[in-house]
Amino acid sequence: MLSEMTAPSKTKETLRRSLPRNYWPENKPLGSSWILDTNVSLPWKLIRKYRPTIAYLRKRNKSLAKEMALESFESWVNVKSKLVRIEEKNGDELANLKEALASAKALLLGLQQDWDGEGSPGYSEETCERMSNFLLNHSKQLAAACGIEAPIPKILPGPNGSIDLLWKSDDYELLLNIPADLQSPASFYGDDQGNLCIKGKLDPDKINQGILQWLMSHQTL
Amino acid sequence: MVDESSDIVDSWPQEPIPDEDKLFMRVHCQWTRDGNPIPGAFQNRGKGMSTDWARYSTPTETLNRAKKPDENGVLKFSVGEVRAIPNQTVEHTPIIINRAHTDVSGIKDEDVRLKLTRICKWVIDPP
Repeated sequence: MLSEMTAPSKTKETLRRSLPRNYWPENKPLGSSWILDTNVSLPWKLIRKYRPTIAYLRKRNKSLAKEMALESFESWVNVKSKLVRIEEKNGDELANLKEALASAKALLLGLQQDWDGEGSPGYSEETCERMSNFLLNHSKQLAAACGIEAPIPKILPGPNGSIDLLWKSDDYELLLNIPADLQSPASFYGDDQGNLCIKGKLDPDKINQGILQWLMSHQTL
Repeated sequence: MVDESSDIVDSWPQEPIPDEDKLFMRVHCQWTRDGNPIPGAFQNRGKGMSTDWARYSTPTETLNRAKKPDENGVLKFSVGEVRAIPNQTVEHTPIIINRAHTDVSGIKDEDVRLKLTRICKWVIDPP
């Protein structure tokens, strides 16, 4: 985990973008996208007072996060007395997703009629494109708004030419189905294998706030 | 009904399946990832999701009913666990060439498909 917590080196290839004054994500991943507070030299308790900085560095192991936070921030030069998000210009936060999509598309489009010997149909370019746009749009939204790299689901063949997206962790699963019929909504179900569950339909051609919230809370730390 | 004079079967009697019994279901290897069945493997084809009642079939017999047995594995379910999933019914639907044939009927939405992945076990691993 230490490598994830190492600040990216500061180069000329960075962009700076101001965030709204009151904006702060509850969970901020460590990685190529960073949020800085100019008051980095302040003692920990004072930094905590300026909520943005500590929120960024919050990890389950809080002591480790705190220690790494101070070390990381010391290597940065303050810009202004406000929050600044710095992104690596050449870093493509969606690179992993794009790679997964390319691989999944190749597999899906290679499945022809009756590929399983049970009469299953193949998968269309249009369905793949709809699925791809759904993932890219939501991931872009998270990256732009919160600097979060969304978890990449397993992209799987679904029934009747549909495509399943499966997010799975130790304590939660979410299955979302992109139907072959381009006019039909996507349907989803997720649970923690216990008490909590979500279920519903959504328009995969639009950004869905509920899915964004879910992806944000299940980002890889 | 069995034609005793010629040993030719017109049809097999439909029987109730106890919750304690098992079902076998063949799954093509493309419906698996990392050695596990994926939700898409669980879908209705015709009346329901086709399985074989373990009373009248072995896993190998189930496997050999596939077009390409060497590309399939066989999963096992407990009938009671299947029936515990919302809106799923297990009904013995024998056909002439397969007395074990059993349908798991009911909509296979994401909820159901995800839960089916959790209650099955391989009895013959896919290639």
